[in-house]
Amino acid sequence: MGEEIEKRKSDRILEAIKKRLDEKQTIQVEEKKVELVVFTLNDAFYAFYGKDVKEILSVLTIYFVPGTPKYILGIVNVRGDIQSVLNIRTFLNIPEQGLTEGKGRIVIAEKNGVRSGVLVDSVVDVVEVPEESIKQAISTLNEEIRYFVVGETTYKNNNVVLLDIGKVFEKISEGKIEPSAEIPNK
Amino acid sequence: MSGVETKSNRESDQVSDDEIRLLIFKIMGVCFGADMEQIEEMVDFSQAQQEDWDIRNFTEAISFRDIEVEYKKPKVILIKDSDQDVGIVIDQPENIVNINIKSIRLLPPLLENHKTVDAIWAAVFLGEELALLVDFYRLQNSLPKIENQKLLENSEDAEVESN
Repeated sequence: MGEEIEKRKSDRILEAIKKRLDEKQTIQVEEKKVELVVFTLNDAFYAFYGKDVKEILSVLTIYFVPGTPKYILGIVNVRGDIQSVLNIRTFLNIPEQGLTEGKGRIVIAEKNGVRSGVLVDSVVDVVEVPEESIKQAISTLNEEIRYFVVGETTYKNNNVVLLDIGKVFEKISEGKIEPSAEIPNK
Repeated sequence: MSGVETKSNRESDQVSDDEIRLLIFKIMGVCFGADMEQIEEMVDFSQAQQEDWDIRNFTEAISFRDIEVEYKKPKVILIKDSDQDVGIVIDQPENIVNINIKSIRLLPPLLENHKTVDAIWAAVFLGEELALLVDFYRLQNSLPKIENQKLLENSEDAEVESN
């Protein structure tokens, strides 16, 4: 009888351990994380999904190409290959602001087979955040801008707008961006 | 060919099968390269005005956006084998170089698909500089005719003439 009680006790202990493990796994599944590349434009924080970012370069000489739309800043030499560089401010309606010397970065992004550089003011960090921490973008965002926004999260108490670079490429491919769109100077 | 007698020009008159000979010129700091095989001759702008040429402006076909383009020393290139004598106005060439075709780089697809003119067809690095390759045959069809006097404003030729 006492042996049976011991067995039951051991069963209970084993069950408790298994339960704890299951809960831990559940928590791990629930806390699925995503990598974000956090960057700034005019002191505001934005991010791309890390999986879409191929490399981050110091600002190289950007060669202007006449006969191209305003959202294409030009082309750069990336180890002998030529990459286009986009002015993402055009899409987000952000005023132009001169780069602080040595701080500007070109984020080389690729999605759905399209690859291009994007000029940003600075790359702040590459972080992993729980997927569930990405909330829906605030409803006050302009509808045109919201098209490019996946959601919002926080980084060191700063609000971060997560952008879908694929949507930017898609918009360009659809030719829906006004080529002569003027960006107001700050 | 007048005005571009450079060292590299004299030393490399021969072009092998895997090379292209480029006339290098800049407009508002943007470097261009044009295939010498497409060029019949080049003359000063004032001289071209005396010829019965259809003179057209390079920068009116290839938009520099809101940049007000000024030519420092305008030259006119006569396109070879053109149905009509088409002269294209460029700025004073800097050099003539032979480039191995392997060093020619395609434009990125995103840019290739959204440029407004197809005359810029590739690019090549010349040391630290990047030259955009221009096809004058493609360009000539999209060039509007210009008012000659308007072009001369602000150019050094105009200053010489006024003196």
